Amino acid sequence: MQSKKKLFALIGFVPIFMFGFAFAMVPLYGWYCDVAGINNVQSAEREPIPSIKNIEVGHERNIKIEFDATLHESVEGIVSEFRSLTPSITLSPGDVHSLVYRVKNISSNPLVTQAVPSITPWWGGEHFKKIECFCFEQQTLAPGEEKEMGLQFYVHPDIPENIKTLTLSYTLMAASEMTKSASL
Amino acid sequence: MTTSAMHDDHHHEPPAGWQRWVYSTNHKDIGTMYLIFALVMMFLGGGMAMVIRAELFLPGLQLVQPDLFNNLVTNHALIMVFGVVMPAAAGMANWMIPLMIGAPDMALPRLNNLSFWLLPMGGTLLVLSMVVPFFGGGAPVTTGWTLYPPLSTQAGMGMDLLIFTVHILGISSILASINIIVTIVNMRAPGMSWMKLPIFVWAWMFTAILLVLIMPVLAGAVTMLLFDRHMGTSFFDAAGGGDPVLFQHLFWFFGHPEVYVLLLPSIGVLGTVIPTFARKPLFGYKPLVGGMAFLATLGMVVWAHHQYTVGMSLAATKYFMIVTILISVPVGLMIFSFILTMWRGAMTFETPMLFAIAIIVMFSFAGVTGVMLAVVPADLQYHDTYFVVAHFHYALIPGALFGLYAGVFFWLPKWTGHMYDEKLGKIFFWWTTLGFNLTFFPQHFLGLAGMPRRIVDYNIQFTEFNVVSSVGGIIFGLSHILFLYIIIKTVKGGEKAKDQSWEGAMIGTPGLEWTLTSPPPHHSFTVPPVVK
Repeated sequence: MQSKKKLFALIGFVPIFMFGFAFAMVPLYGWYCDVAGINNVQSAEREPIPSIKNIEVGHERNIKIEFDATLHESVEGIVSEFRSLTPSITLSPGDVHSLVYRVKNISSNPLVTQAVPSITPWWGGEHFKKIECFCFEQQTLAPGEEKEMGLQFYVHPDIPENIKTLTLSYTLMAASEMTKSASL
Repeated sequence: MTTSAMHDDHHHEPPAGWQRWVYSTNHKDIGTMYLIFALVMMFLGGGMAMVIRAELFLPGLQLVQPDLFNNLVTNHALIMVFGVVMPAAAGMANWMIPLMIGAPDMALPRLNNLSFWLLPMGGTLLVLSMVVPFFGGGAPVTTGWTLYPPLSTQAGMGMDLLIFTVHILGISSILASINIIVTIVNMRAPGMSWMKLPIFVWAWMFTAILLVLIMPVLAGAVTMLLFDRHMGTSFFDAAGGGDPVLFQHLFWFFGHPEVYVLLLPSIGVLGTVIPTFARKPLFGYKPLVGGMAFLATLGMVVWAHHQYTVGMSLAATKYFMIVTILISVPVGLMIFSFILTMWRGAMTFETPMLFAIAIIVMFSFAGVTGVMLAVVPADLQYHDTYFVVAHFHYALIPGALFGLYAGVFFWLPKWTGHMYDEKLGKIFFWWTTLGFNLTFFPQHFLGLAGMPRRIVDYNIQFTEFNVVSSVGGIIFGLSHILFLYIIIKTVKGGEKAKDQSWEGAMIGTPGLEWTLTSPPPHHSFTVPPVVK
């Protein structure tokens, strides 16, 4: 009989201890995570996020950018006057520049368009950085609407020395044409 | 008064009427009350599941509002875990462990009375927590059974009642577990050595040890929740320097071993039923005991695999993934142990055996989906979808509930003195197994297709499988009316059960219950039997 009560008292300590253990976890958990660094996904194991370096504007040289515009056959006779208001500019690498393309829907139907860019020479393309561009999204034109669409960009100073001129060419197409070619 | 007169005084027949039950210190009466409580709660929790399935029959809102739906999901889980499986397993432990090891009663009979009578109290608090929102008690508890903050710190009064429910039920099961451990350690009949213990007793030994270790941690966690709600502390409030993820760690430190608390008693039943009907001793008794010890230990250190998506570091998730997959080793050992027990046995297929075989098949299936869920990159996809719902219902319904059904059919003749209706038992088995699979198998597909759990509505693409699941749910639910009928019929009468109710019951490491009459006398083993 005595040993029954002894054993009861002995085992009885376990739940009391474990109840305390739960509360002990509050400081221990924080301490353990700090020491082992396991609850900190950001700093412990991920590669540090590369910081964005400020770009030096290279005034020592200039690059000429030409702005071209072409109509795809899907919008021929529907759109007129797709062109840049500035045919070309000359700027230093690192300078941020904005300009506007104009487009007019001459049909009596609403039109959803998509502009597809292309850069020549192609190896200069990766240094031509668009900050904002009407080609990022589809553009909707009401019947007869004339619209000015913005473009903001800079040329990265890393652009090879031998490139003196970049040509940016937009082809404007009906968005329905895009989905058609995508489903092919 | 002589000692012998006092001794005799203990042996009068039980008082008649309600006093017999309320004042009872008799392990058989308390076991019966545990089992009846579990049965009542099963119909309550099952009724909630029926409302859930009815709502999910078609997309859109039909029967219940979103808050009530999530409240039903929460309480269905809590009732099934704390109100059905644990009390039913504890009831079986109360009935069987003293009979099996040749003890006159549980070691601490008055404590036993307290453990049981805390249960109806906890159950009442749980039901109240559902009711108070309708009478101005604030927002209902919509957290799911995990009670994660910050949602749980924002819920209304129902949450406080639920916290007290957890406290009361926790105290009840801690006291019952201590009682069981003391009984097994101290009350074994002379000659009943550790390696002669029936496997059911071993299974409950590990279950009780787990419960004593983990229930206080849950109690601590919900106590902190209570402090956060009313005392202005910030254990889990990031704004006050706390960490909501800490609650998840504490909850699952309890929650994962809890799965083995639900599973192990049924493993014990399987280890008893299968040798009986295969008429062969249990294959690998010692490895099975060791496997259960290993499982219980491993179960304590894998908890965070429920939290892969919470943003733990790679090192932590990698550790939890590896130990989680390691669980399949002891579980596989158990499964092989049972299969090899049946191998070349002279098998007959009475209802308990049918359940045992079905459990092996369906629980193994849950094991396979469990390994899928253990793999971190896969789990990120499955997390909180119906795939998880399907997985744990396959683990818990066969793994825990069907194991208890097998135990009920196996020991009903001993408890009542009557054989149950074998034909009805078999009908119940096929009916309930069909209903269960029809309900939960399609949920694997729903989960893989991305249907989230704990949401009242769903996209119409999920309609067909949900219809199948709901129809299966009704079939599964209705089968339990037959279960109730079989039990009542057996209690009331039927073919007289032999003392050794099953031909193969004495094979292997049997309990001493078969040496007693069916039903056993109110006071059994007043003189300790000697085991050779």
